[in-house]
Amino acid sequence: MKRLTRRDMLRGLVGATGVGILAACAGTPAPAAPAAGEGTAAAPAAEAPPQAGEKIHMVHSEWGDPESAWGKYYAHYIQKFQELHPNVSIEYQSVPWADYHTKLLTQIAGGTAPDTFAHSNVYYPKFIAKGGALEIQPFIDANPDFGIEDFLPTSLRLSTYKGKLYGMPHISSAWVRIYNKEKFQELGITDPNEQDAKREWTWETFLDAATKATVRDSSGKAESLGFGAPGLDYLTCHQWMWQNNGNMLSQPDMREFAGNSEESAEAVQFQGDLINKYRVSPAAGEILVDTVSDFNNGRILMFDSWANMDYLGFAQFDHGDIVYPAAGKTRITILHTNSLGIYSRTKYPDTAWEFIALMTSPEGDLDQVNFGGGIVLRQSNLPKMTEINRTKYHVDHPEVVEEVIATGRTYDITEMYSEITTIYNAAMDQVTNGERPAKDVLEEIKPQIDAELAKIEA
Amino acid sequence: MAAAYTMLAPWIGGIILFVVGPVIASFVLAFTDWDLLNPPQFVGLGNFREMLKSDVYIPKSLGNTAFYTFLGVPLQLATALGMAVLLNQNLAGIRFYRTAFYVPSVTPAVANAILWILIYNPEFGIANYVLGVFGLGPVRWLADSTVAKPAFIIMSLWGVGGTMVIYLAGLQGIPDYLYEAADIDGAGPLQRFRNVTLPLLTPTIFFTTIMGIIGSFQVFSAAYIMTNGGPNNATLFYVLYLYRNAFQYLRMGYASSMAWVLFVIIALFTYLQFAASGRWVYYEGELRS
Repeated sequence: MKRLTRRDMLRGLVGATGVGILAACAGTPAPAAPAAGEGTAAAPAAEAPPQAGEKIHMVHSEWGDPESAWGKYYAHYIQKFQELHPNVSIEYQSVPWADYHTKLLTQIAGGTAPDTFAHSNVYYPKFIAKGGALEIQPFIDANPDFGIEDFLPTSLRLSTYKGKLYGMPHISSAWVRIYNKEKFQELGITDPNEQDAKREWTWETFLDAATKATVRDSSGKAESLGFGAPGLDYLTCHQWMWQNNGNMLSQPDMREFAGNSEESAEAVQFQGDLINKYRVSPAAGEILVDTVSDFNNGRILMFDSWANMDYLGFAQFDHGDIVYPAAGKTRITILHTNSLGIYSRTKYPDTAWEFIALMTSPEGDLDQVNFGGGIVLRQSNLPKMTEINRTKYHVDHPEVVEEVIATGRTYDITEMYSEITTIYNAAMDQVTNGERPAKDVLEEIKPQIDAELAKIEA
Repeated sequence: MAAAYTMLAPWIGGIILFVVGPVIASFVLAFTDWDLLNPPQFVGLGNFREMLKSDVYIPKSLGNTAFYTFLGVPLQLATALGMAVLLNQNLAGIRFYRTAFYVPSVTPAVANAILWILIYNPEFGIANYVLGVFGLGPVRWLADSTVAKPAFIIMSLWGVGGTMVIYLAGLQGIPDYLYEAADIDGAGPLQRFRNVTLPLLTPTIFFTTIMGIIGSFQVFSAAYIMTNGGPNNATLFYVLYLYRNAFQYLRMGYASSMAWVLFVIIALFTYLQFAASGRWVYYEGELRS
């Protein structure tokens, strides 16, 4: 046996290091679809027709706990798809939300990306722009029975990039206001839904109710509060701005920051005032456990949340009800969607599309409510969802969910979402803490946000 | 010899594949624009130029990190040393106390973060309760941009158990006869500490200072979990910003260049400490003029 010398070892080290570097750099195979230019959104290439007896193995990735409503939903549809397509097996990959998108990126870099995936729509434009997702419009065009026109047009906006559709909206919800109906009666305040029916549920009447419900001891410590945290973050501020006829970004091009306009700034100031001036919302630490728990124990009169009945846990409390968020100058709320997408370099684009089409079929859409995790986005399913919410979740005003979905507006999300929120959210801490007027802060960050938006290619 | 290398091969292979390779790869990537989804594009020194010239968060995050490091590390070392001295006494149940003080340093970072979120809760947290006993506060620990960084420094003391154990080992390595000689010379407790304990602990202090500064410059988990860089970027530490660039802005090349700048900064401080160590670090048997 040849004796290993130091030189041999050194050669081995250098060689193995080279292999390591290659391994580290080799995660980006050449795009399968020549139509997809580097760093540009991807269009589908045809899937090779399966050979007789060929087995197709795909991976579907999403962020729900396998034991959650969403986990059970996906497991159900994977099984169903496999029964319909015996030559296909789908591996279900569940990654906790906090690590989900990071893991997806590292999987892509490592060459082990899932074929289909759920993707947060706040990160989706950048993912699409970098060529991570396959355009799905050609599949829809080839399958007119799919019924894309049944989807609420608004619901497709965040899955659309530069006019082309790159995913089907899924795992969605809309913003409602939850209120303690018993406490409204105790305080002698007209039920918000009655006020809303007469279009008298406004920022003024909302603030009046919140003020009446707020009780502080002599030291200023909150015993009960009128409204949960108004959330001065990039996403939540949208609703308040819209209600005051403002916008976060210029419309419809989203090329400039518009949050510094008089209307938008006034809305953000109102949010800050709920905490610092009217003191009906919690300052840091005034939430005892979490908003839902504090609501359940009667410590908070109202809070805003997603209209998922399972998430809201309506079974946990009998005193809760939902109402359309109070109108400012305009009566508007948020509809937020996520996407089911196809990895741009999947070997099985057609099969991947069929899987997504099954989950977003009329039945798949409605089952989001049946399994308890979500809402529907097909207009034909809205009345059915209302019935499920009435009978299964015992919601007093299930028509509110239908209305917030039908009338909700989607956030202004661009490829620079992460960069913009870094600027926006940090600056808003000053408004949350009552340190500076909203207008000053919003004016100050406008050039920074505009600079980020300017990086987006037309 | 072949057998020795064969036995070492798994370890060497692991180091090469999982440490050396990625380190070199990150160096190469530092000169590229890489979004993880497409092949890297060579940009020369572009990333470094941007860091130096136009990225306002680089000085901000470096300043935050420097504040945390240069206030936090001395405090951590002093606390660890003080605890080690106390736990170096020959008392009943001392092993229990040593274990009790060491345990927090091995608890997971996420658990520590959750615990400290509760401790710092302005309304019912124990931190404000203690201040209240002295008629102070309440303080919005993690919501006030002037207090958030000091709050992280205080929190870092929770994990000094590891350093404390190193000091304890150092203290137990000091021969008793030196203290006996000091006693005979009439030295009191403070003089013994100053003239015997501290000089003989200087190699340990030197080691823990270097390790403390290296670790402190890489602070990430607590800020990621507890404040996500807020309020108003007061806890936007360098590695947190690096992470954002890598996985939120999809700028892995830029993040790699940030990592190498951090490496240079840490290497510089380590070099300075080594350069200065000749003046204050004493090894046993060493003669000084």
